[in-house]
Amino acid sequence: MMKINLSLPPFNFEVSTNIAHVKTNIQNLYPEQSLTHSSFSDYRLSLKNTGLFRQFFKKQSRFLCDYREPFKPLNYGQAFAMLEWGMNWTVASHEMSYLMVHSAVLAKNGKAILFPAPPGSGKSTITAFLAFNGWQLLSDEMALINLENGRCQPFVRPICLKNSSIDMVSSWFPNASYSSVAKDTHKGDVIHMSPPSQSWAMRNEEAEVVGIVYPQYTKGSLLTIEPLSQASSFIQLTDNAFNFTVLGNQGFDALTKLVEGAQSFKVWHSDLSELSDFLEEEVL
Amino acid sequence: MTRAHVSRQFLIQLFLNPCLGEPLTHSQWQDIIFVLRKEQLLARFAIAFKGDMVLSKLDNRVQRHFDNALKLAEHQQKQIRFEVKKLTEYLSNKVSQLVFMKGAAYVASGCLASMGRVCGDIDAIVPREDLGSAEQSLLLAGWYRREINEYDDLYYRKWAHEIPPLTHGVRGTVLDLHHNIVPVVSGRHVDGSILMSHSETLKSGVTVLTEPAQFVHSSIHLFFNEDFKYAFRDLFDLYLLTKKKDLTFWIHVFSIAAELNFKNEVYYAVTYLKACFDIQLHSDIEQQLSKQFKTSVVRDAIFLHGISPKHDMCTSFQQNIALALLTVRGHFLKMPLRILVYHLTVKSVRTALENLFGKHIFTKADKNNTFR
Repeated sequence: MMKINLSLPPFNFEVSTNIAHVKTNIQNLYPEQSLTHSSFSDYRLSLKNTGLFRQFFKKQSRFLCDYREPFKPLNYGQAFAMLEWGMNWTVASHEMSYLMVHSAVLAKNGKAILFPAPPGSGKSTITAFLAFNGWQLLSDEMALINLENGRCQPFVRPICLKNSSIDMVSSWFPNASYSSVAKDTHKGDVIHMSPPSQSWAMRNEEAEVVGIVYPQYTKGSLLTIEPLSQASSFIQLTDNAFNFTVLGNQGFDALTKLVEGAQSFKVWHSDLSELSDFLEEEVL
Repeated sequence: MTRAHVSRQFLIQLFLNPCLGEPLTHSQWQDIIFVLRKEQLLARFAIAFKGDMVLSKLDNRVQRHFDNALKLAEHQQKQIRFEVKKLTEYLSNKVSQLVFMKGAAYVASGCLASMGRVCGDIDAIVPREDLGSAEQSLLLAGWYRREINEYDDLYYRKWAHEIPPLTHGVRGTVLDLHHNIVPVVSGRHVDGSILMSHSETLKSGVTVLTEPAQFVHSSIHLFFNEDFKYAFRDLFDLYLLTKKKDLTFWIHVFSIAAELNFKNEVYYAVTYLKACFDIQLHSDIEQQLSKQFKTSVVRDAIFLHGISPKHDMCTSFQQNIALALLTVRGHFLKMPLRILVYHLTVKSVRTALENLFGKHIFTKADKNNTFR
């Protein structure tokens, strides 16, 4: 088993694997400074291909967080995607020191916008587009809101792209680093893309949340913006906040402050440049 | 690299004297957290550290893990208290008695053993004649039987002392409903009603075993078993159940143990609590114990391995042997030989297939091709 240390602020992972392409993908997608050894790992994760005979046909990969195995095995080719999902699961199941919101978060000049969105809303395409157009990526999947000061802590990781978005994004940004494709997962075809070095460089810089935007990609539509009341936005966020109930009063207060300190909008779009302009002019 | 900092002895001392944690290095804390998390003791230790004001002196990174575990445990305990109340209300006119045991009981009663306790499932016991109607009612109320293979289902109903676990469809809580405390086929069981007679109803309306009965039941569960996976945590439960207890408690413990015909298991519990936690017993009790029971160095060596933490950071070749012996012993205790042979044959064929073809060969694939 190969051991790899991943320093991904605010967490450190120790990853063990006997699957070669997991290591290759990690080395392609994570910068040098993420691969440094630390004296303290928060979680030990492993990606294993097991079974004496099973190694030779219909190979599988299994994800474990120390001794816990939260998922059924996936196909061998999906091992790297499984690690990424496994890291998300690990953080979402254990970390209660941040309010965690299921959303993408990007920032410019220290001001961040949350993009909570269900699958299929085009969130990851927006994330990739903005990240490579001057925005700082804090996360493509989970916003970590500091419970003390309400700011968003980055958790910089590769962006997960699915299905049709894979071809689209890789044609826009052919020089970015991409993982191997994981075919036929429960989300369809999946690829991971390393954000630009600017995002990695700012991985320790918290940002103030000034906007909460609920995007909905609608082909051919004009950019349509609907401001949301704080109350509506709050309700939507409770659905998207992983650990809202565990945090109890603290979670309630944090979410209230978040919504009060930001403008909330629902946006229907089909042109990402238009969306980006709106975000820069009206929200930031 | 020495692993003394994750040994059974050190971890117990750390729990009893949290200031022992102050000189530990970052790397040692890392290991301790992994072991405690696996043994489901993170939250319990967090409370011990908070009590001694040690937590705030630790590095932020280390503290965070203990704080996280504490928040999760507190939340889960709220859910357990809600759940046991709901179950009591719902089954009140369908069973003559519903008594909660182990983790759920500790949490419901708020006794010392509820300290940082997280429960994988809720354990409860009902009279055997009510089991069928209890199960049917729960199925109607949104609980469902998790899909288990036919062999395991047969095992439960024919030989065991409990029905297959029930899961709540919306809340995800798992309920283990028993009609006895050891498998019927073991020949060691006495009428379930004897244990249930040692119960008390809390202010919330929920019924749990009395504390002496908890101690007896938890001792049986720990020492009359083939599975020592959570034995280290269970040992702490037993210690907390005895904390601040007087002679009356112990008199009741031994009397209930005699009624249930499980005196040995209680003797083992007391022996290892003395060895590990240095609990003090009244001299009368000590005298009685030394008269009735024989010590055994070999037995102690094996059991001490069984109740030690099992993470690969602190395990050993000797511990693996001891655990294998305890597994065999546990199976023999619970089943007569001819049934055991059948059971183990089926299980070992399945295990061999799992080793060759992967652990999940018997796991049903999800229907819409989500995973696998």
